[in-house]
This record gives sequence, structure tokens and C-alpha cells, in this order.
Amino acid sequence: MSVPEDVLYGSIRELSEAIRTRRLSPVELAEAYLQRLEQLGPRLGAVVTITRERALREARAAEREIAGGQWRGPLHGVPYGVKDLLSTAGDLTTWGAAPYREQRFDFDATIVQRLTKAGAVLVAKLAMIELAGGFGYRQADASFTGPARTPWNLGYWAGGSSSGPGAAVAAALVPFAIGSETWGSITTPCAFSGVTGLRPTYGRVSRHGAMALSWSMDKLGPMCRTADDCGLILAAIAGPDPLDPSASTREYAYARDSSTPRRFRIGVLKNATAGVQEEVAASFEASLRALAEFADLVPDVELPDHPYAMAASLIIDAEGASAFEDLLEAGRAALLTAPEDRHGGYSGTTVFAKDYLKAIRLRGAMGRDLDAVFARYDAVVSPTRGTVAFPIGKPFNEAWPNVPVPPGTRTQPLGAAANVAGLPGLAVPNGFGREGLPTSITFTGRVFEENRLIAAASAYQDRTDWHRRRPPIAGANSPPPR
Amino acid sequence: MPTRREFALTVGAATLGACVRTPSAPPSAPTPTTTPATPTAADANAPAVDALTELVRHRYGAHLSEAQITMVRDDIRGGLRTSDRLRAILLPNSAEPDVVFTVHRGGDR
Repeated sequence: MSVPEDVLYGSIRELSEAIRTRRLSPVELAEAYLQRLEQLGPRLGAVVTITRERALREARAAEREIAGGQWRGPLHGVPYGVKDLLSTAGDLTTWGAAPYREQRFDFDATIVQRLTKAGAVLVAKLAMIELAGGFGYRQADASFTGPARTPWNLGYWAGGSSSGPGAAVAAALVPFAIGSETWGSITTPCAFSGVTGLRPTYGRVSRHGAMALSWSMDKLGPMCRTADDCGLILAAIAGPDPLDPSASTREYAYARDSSTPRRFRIGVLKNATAGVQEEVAASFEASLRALAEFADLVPDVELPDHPYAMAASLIIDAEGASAFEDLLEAGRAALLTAPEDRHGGYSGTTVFAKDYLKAIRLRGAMGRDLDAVFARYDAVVSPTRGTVAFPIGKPFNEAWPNVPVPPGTRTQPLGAAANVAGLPGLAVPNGFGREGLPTSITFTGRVFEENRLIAAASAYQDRTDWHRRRPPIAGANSPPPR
Repeated sequence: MPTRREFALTVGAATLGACVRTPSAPPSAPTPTTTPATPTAADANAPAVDALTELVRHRYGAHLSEAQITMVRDDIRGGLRTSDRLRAILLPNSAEPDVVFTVHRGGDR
């Protein structure tokens, strides 16, 4: 029996209930997503490896267990994909980069182990920007698998560096995926591909088995359809790990609050729409009106004055040069796809130790000052990106040349501060802009307060349907891109 | 991931302040016309830029073309501007790096 497309675009919560009550077979569901991965994955440039054998083995096991009355929880029998920087035993783990295209590990990353334990079914390893963008790519074509396309308009980029997870979730090739963010790599593809995603607090999720770009800034998180789904996934993947010293021992549990909703207190970042694309601003303003139905909005939230972006830049440069020292020393960066990535890692080798230490000394004050601000709110909102997705085939700085954007405002207003201080952020679709491309709003919060973000974003998604819209690629009959 | 070097190159001595005015994460990159000119800072760093570029050439020159070394030089120039800005912020002696060294003890015999 084929699974209707309506079902494939369902949330995890919906899929899970159908699986638990045995109205939906995990094997048939896995087969349906595998078929879409095979049919649509290449068109979107979203897939590196389809793990068919493992998927069917895990799906059959789930089906047996559930039929026998053993239900592991809301991810049991639910398929998923991972960004191809997570090791999975025996499969290729390419890091999106030609020098590593034959790389294999003999173990599953901790996050994959936890999803397996929760009964989830791994169906694919998904495309990504080479080395998670660590060497400064400036174009969509920066992966040995080619540029990933947003299913909303195949001439445009899915975003990066978690490109495949963005495109694959948007086109219902998987109901959820795991992405990574060092600085914008979950939220950007969520915005450009029109999906929901959570960048957890730094340390919330173990990164053992994940490619390292910046040990002190890398995070792993879910990309899916709803904020509620983010909570379900985070509950399965969060927690301490002796193999990752950064993984926090702080408990995490998630249950969707069905009690009478409280009124939220949401800050609005000062000048949040200054210089962004007109349509992005319009979507954001409409979002504020929707938020005002259930939240007290506090305008003009200002961040403490710190050089967030400069500190983040220097930290990633230095840590990235160390993480990929072997690649640089061997001259194998020359094999990378984007020309700028072939030389982009070398300047990081010249960062002075004293300057790196200065950046991480500044971090303490940044964290303290930001916490004092974010403790006042359930979330602070801002547009996720200042523009819609970039066209494929053009350098990023020529993506939207006619948009009158002051320097810096078109990117991610909170991206540097949130990432350098490890704050959680939740990006959700909030409308459409030019060329039929999605826009997005991000809820940023205090460290370890993901549930407040999820609750606020869920309340927003209860009142809107942007997260339920389907891209025109839906179905396998669309013409291939030219 | 942002293109950090573009950030460093194009921001230069731009005002550091509220993050809404602080360029942050690309992949979007500011257009060239928005690049603030900071000739003084650039000139002051010229000897260091030259020296560090030569260091890269010495260590990695076999892997890089002259055109690539020129681009690495631009990246180094941007990086030094970033470092200059961070160095300009003074911290008390007590402000520790935000890392904790963990001692290791193996199993007792």
C-alpha cells in the first residue's frame, strides 16, 4: 500500500500517533520516504547516501516491536536523515568534501545511537556545504555533491551549511533531519527552505562522532516541520555523554503543554527589520501581529555592546585551522569544490594564540551580559535572514544586488551573539517573499530554555499555517532543473 | 556558516555596538560598495600582513598559487583588523578564558 503524500508531509506527532495505533506501517513509511529520496533527492542535490538496507532493518524491527506492544516513544518507527558530518557505522561520511568522499567510520555518532535507541529509522545521509563552510565559501556550489536546491524554486539555494537537511525536510524526503550549526548553519537552511529548526544551547547535545569545525561553537539540532517536533527530537538526543566533555548534565524533558496557555513575554530586537528585504520585513511585521494575540511584546530590545561577530570569527578561524590541520598541511584543501575554500583555511593558521585567548576571555562577559537580557523574556524575535534564498550560480554578494541593504543587516541579526554565547534559537517559516521563496522568524532564548522557545513558537504555529505549506516540487512530476 | 573573512574585510573599523548594527553571519556577503575604507588601520598592519603572508608561503607555498596567496593575504589583513578590535578591549587580569582544563587520572593499580 502506498503512503499518501499528505501523510509524508505530516508532523512527527501525527506520524507517531498513526504508527503507535498501527494505522501506519513503519516499513511502508520507510519505503515511501526511500522512494522520494531516490526520485527527488538528486533533483534537489539533497542526498549523499541512501541507507536503504539499514532503514528497512530498523523499520522492520520497529514494526515487530510495536506489534508486540513495545512502543519506545514518539520517534519509534519514524524515518530521519542526518547531515553527512555524522558518522554512521560502515556508511560513507563525506563531510561534503571531495577529500573525504571515501571516508568511513565503524561507529555511530552518539546522536545517531540515541535516535536508534528511540526507535527512529535512518534513511539517508544528507548533503552539506564542504567542511560545514569552515573555509569561507561564497557560493552555493561548495560541495562535491553540487548545490542543494530549495524545493520552493529550484533555481535557488537550500541554504547552508545543513543544505540537504533543509531541502529534504521541505520536500518531504524525510520527516526530520539532524543538522549542525557553528554560525547560522541550521537557521539559514531553515529560512531558505521553509522548515522549522532548533539550534540547541551549546552543550545540550553530544557531538561525539560529528565532524569538528569549532569545538567551542559546534552544535547539533533538529530540522523538521513544527516547533513541537523539535521538542520531541531534542528529548531523544539531549543529555550528557562521557565521550563529549562539552555535553551538559543538565536534564532535558519535553511535553507539549496542553494546559491553559499562559501569556508570553516576547522581546522584539531593536531595528530588526532595518535594511532587510521588503517582503521579509512584511512577513516579520505580520508575525508580530500574530504573536501579539498571545504574548506581550516588548519592542526595541538591545543587546549588550560586545564584538560578537569578531570574536566568533576569530574563534572559528583558529579552531578550524587546527581541526583541519592535516588537510591544510597535506595540501588537500586544493581538492575542495569552491575555489575560495581551497585557500580559505590558511589565514587561520596565522591567528596568534594571544588573540584567540582574548576572544574566549571576552566570551565570559558576553555570556553574562546576554543572560541578563534574555532572562527577561521567553524569547527575543528577529527575522532569521534578511533576504530570501540566494540564486544558484551567483556569488552570494551578487545574490540580491538591487536590495538597498546597509552593511551587516541583511544577514542574521542575532546570529553572531547567539552562537558565540551558545544561546538556543528556533527558526520557523513565517511567509513568502520574492520568487515564491520562504521567509522565516527566529525565536532566540536564554541558555537551556529551549522549551520556552518551543512553547512560544508552537503557539505561533497554532495560529498560522506557513509550516504546513508544500513546495511546488511535491510529487515526482515536476520538470528537472535546467 | 558565515564567510567570516568577508566580514572581517568589509567591516574593518566599522562601529561595534548593538548587534543589529554589527554585520554577522553570512553566507550573505556585503556588497563591495558597502566596504568601509580603513586605510590607516590597513597601513599600520602592512608589515604584519607581509610577514604573516610570508609565513604562509613558507609553510604552505607548495600547495598555493600566487593568486591564492594574494587572497590569503587579504584574509590575513582582515583577520588582523579583527584582532586589533579585540585587543582594544581591555580585560582585568581575573577574566579567564572560557575553557576549563580537566585533569586526567588513569585507573589506580
